Amino acid sequence: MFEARLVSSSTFKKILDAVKDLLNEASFDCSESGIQLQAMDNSHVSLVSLMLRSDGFDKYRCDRSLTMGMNLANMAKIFKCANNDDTVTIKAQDDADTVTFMFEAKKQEKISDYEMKLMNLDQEHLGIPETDFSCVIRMPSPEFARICRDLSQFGESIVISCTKEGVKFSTGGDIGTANVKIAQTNNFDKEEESVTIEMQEPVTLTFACQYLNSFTKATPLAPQVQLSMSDNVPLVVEYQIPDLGHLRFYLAPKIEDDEN
Amino acid sequence: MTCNEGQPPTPHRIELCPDETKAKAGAPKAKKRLNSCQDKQNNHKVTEYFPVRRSVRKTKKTVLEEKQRSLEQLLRSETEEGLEVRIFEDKGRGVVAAKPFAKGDFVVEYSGDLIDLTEAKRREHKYAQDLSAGCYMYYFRHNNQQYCVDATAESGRLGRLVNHSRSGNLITRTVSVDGKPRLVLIAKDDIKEGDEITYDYGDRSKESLKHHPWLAY
Repeated sequence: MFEARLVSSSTFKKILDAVKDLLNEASFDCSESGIQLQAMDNSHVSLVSLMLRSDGFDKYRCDRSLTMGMNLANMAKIFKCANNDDTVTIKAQDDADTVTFMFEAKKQEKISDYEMKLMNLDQEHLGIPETDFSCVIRMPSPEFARICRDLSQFGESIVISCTKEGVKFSTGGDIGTANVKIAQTNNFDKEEESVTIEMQEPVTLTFACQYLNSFTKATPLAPQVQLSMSDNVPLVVEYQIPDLGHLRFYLAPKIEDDEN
Repeated sequence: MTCNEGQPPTPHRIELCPDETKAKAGAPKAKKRLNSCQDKQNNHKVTEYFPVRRSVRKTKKTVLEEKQRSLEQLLRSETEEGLEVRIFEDKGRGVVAAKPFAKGDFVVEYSGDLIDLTEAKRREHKYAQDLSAGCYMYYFRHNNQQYCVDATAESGRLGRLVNHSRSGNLITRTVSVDGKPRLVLIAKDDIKEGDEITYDYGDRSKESLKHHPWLAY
């Protein structure tokens, strides 16, 4: 028996909005420690990694580890039927081929449940090694979304270069070039609006705009986003889900011209 | 302007030409597809950095840990399934398999009192005076320490009733459960239903052979 209950369904709505562009379907691995999801997009350029800790749920029970393959578009349809302040309960029997989502309205005058067929997905799991990143940048998540959106008008890829002066996002295309520089803030009053840069050594990497723009769909989840970079490893874009876990996106860098 | 080379262009034809409208509508799509195709060529893949791991495949370590855990569970619950006692004319009681066991399966525990060597010596001395009592002392080493499991006392447990054979179908292993060593009998080969289960007592001393000549076989 698996049962997980969360007082607000809006977190799930936001998570689904954040990943459904990249993934058509995904396996949710449920265990005593929580719910995990790891999946690559079709082109295998990016990887989504979601962790929801069991202690972050209002009620969590998982007698036996189980993997639930779900179509994310259908799951999103179901969550569209829930109000943001509805309580959501996800239930599945051991070895079940369906999962049930139950939404309870705040005053409990309305209870709806939706049963969805599970899918058997033969997905590849990747082992992600622990990495000490050369640069870790924390910045307001709407700011990052804005930069990605703005720059993607001018080129297909964004160069992120991080030095001790700050971080520079730049792109170039037929129209011309665009550069956005962000420096570390000295204002510690508002943590949510601060920019911090931890740098061991400078890094410059190039990434496809299309994927970065998809990642920023997760902006409503967290006020801050963390970008971790090192040479020759994928970029990590991380959104902390308050009290519950995190949503991470990994993005492999573009192949630079001089590499060929 | 022509959509069909064989026919002269007329205003009607231009309006009705299906190919052109299709080409117009199709153009941006084709471009997009080309782009994503280029993307794949120009972009590294995450699989180049992170090794692929089959989700169902467990590492050797987890398999061993799971095996150990299920064995400990069996020992704690004192399970003795798929076995029955049979009385043999020539050698008295023995244990036969009531279900098939696969090689490596846990079959039964040799259970009794876990005692140290000094206690074992004391008890052996006591048992030697009673000729009717059988020999149920099992000496073994675990983590470089000598132990003995004494199963002389009648108990409902089956491990003490398993007979000796030099070419038995079981082997003994020691397993640590909750910090205490326990003796388990594991299937050395596949065991068929109805087979008597036996193991090598390992005692070949002159003294023992004199009293128990069957130990030689």
